[in-house]
Amino acid sequence: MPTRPRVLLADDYPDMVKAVSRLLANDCDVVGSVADGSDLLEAAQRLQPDVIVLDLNLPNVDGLEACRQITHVYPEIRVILFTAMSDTDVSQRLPGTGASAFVSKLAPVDRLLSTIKRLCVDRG
Amino acid sequence: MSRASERLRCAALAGALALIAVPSSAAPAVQQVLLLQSSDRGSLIFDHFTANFRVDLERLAGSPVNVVQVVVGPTGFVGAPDHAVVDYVRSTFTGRPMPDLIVTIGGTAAVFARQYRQQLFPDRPLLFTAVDKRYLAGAPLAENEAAVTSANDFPKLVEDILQLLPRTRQLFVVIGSGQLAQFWHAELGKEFQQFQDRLTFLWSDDMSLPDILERCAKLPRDSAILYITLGNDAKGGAYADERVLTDLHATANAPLFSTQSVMLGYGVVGGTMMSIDNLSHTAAGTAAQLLDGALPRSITAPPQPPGPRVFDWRELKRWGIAESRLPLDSIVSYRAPSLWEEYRGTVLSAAGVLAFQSLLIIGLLYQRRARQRAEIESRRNLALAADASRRQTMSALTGSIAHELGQPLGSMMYNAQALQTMVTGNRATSGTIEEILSDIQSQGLRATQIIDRHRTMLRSHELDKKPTDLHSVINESLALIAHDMEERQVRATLHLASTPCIVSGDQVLLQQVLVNLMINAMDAMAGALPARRRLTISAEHRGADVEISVRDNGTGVRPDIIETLFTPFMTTKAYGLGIGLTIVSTILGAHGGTIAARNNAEGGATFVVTLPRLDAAGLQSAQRGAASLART
Repeated sequence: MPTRPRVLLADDYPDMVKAVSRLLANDCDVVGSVADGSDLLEAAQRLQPDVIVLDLNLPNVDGLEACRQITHVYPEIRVILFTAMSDTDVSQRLPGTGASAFVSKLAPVDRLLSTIKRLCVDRG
Repeated sequence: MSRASERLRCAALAGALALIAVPSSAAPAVQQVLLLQSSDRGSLIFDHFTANFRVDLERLAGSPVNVVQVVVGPTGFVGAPDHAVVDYVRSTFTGRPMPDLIVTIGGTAAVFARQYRQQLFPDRPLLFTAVDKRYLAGAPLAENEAAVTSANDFPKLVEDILQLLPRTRQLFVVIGSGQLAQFWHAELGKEFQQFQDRLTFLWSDDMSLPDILERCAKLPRDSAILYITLGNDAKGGAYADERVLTDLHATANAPLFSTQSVMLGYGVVGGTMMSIDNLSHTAAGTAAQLLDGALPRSITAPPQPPGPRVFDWRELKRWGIAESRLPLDSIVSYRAPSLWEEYRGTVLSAAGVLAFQSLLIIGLLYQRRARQRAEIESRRNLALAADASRRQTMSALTGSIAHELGQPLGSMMYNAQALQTMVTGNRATSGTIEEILSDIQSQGLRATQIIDRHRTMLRSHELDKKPTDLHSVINESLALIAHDMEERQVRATLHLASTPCIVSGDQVLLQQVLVNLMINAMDAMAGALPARRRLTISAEHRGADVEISVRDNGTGVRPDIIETLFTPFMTTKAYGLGIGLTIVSTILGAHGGTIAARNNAEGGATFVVTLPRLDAAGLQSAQRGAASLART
């Protein structure tokens, strides 16, 4: 039986965290969540997730900066930028952040799960 | 003293006396004129003639004239014998130079002078004036006599009367009772024979003035009155023309006519009349010639005919005589000016003033209209600008809307999918289902609130003042631009007063003000390092006001435009209309507030908004108003 991906959620919107956790519960282990960008590094170190689903709109250290830090410190962790911004807006800001993928919060809901699964398979 | 020197002294004294006795050769000689007047004051003809004659003579004579005037007619020396009058006249020249000229005025004086010519300086020239030629016809002029006579045309006046009043059947002739009257009664009786078929003549020479007046008041219809002159009535009463004419005018029931121009204006209708002005002027000129040495025989002044027909407009009206009946060459005097003629100056002035005033009013109206148009245009432009500003704001907020809505919508989608998965896998408990559905509901509600907030913000808006806490306005504004701030990596710091900052204001418009200022601040910090992009918003009480400041660490405002920052179309941005701050200023002005900008010492700028704080009384009043509205 393949290993279930360990997923860390970083979002300051509790309802979103709760809803995503419910959806991923069947296929992933949601190991935790943070609502502040400055807490992300510490949580990543402690929880050792395979994937971080990272909202761009985080207080103190915003999502892009947090992404740079994570991918710099923990290059093995795959980061999915998860935001309500449009694809165009995000794609312009992706380079240099180290993120592995971008999923819009308004995209079909199975896209997040399929992206997590794909990244975990790619990592092997 | 020697005899020789005494002779010399006497000679000098005699010479000195001789010098004193000799009159100055520079002083002109005064010429003496003896004026024999026919009547005392009261005769309009003679009074008018004499006054004019003396004035003209003084003017026309080459040297100074001294006039000695003596009345020799019956009103001058009533009852005095003629020789006494002659003695009196002679006595006036005793010890004085003899008269250089004797002038008689009127028929009575002419008769008197002729009668006593030998006693009255016979070697001096005599000039008869103001006398009808018929009155002198009895005797030729002597060698040293001259005359300026008139040729009254009484029949012509009667013809005038008949032309004006063709139905006239009776002519009442007012004439005195003296010698002169008798003469004229006889003369006119003959001359009026030609009218005997048309007119009956009645004569007043045997009547007293009261009788005359009584008669004139009861004249038969189709009568007219011809006034020659009264002088003395049948009872010896002496009357002035002016009084007689006035009484006649007041009592007579028929129109009054006269042959002398000076009587026009005293109730006389008019007609062919002798001009006394012309007569006196001619007489004065002749007298001046005689004083100048002209020989009396050389004077050949023809008798003066009557002047043009003159009528009194007032009397024509009074007796209903149409002007169309007047002979063509007639002159109408005393015409009452029409309103236009009388008040032409006033009317023209008033019209001028009115015209000027009208022009002024038109000008002011035009100016006002132009200003109104400009104001309307300005308001339209401002509205367009406000709309453009709103669109800019909307554009800036679109990302925020998408982001904000994305959260609840995404949550709803994920919850729904999770629920479906659970139901499909038979892992859904009723508790879980209920919990997820509840979450979906609350997230739907949140999405609705977000939409409402933005819709209100972007809607065209009338001023709707109510007690508003500026802290809430600041928080709402920050929420609206939160996404933009995130994208621009701008961090906000709040310093809010410990107690609410309540103003009477429109929440949405004030929100627009703050959003605008915050976006401007972020624009100003676009070139700064992300770490320096800090927006500081403060709200504090300051006296009776509330002060909000929006501070940035940007480039600051150029000093040369800081004064004009709030005028339309002033911008330092590469894009944008430059109307944002004008709108801000306008909105604040509508709230009784102000805005000012200043550069910070350490860089960047601070925009300070001041609004009047709503005190307790104002707050209660506003709350009562709101309660009242709620009840209705």
